[in-house]
Amino acid sequence: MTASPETLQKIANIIRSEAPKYLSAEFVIHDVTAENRPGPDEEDWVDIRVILEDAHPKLDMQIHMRFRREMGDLFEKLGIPHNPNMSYTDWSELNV
Amino acid sequence: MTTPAGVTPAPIDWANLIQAGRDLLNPQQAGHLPTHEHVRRAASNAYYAMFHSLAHSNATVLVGSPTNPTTAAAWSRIYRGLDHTTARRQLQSNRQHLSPQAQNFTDAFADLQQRRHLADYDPNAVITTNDGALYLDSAESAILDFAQITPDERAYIAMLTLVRSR
Repeated sequence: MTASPETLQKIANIIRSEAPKYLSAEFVIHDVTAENRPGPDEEDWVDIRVILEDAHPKLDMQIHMRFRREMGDLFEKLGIPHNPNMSYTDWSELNV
Repeated sequence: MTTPAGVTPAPIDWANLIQAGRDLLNPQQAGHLPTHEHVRRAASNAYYAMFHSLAHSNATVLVGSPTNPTTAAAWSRIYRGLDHTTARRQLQSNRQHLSPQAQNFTDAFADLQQRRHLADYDPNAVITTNDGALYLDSAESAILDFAQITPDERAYIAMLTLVRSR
């Protein structure tokens, strides 16, 4: 399902406001983007990119999975019909 | 039956797929900095590690370890019976009935299947080396979580992902 621009903005805002509850203060969020992508079986999905300032510690996968799981529950509760499919990128990686 | 007579079937090892993905991203292993293609193959490996871990779990929980030609054929058929789309959709639509560990597996399976599709087919996709490493870490953690769930839940997941509901 293709997300509307309003939904994409809402998703990015939610992730940006919720991420600090899971990530330590050493993870400084530069930006969060949400974009539609073509997926398997012609189903669009939302690609959420958490862009971090460089020089953060290695991400703890257990924390990421809990964040992902609880955002999945939150999206469902809010009636957002998309998965919180998140990746984390260093800001410098996008600007080389 | 695809297993030759006298050969005990074995799973495609998820841990080796993860390691192969990490090798692709490791300049010392590859002999040069990873190219976009290395990163894309690493992203693909992350998903396939999950897919093969699920196929292995399904075959083992339903058939056990193959010990003779009959169980070898049954094991191989269950292993090969896993379909990407059915597995993702059934896991996601039954997510609320699963344990937190199985939910982690479900979430990572769906996410990485979508990211594999992007990595394999979209020439415009931006996938960084960190992305590739994160996908591999995510797959590994989710598979290790999946290994913690009970045999009963593994059987339930095998049924969900292999048998069409009516």
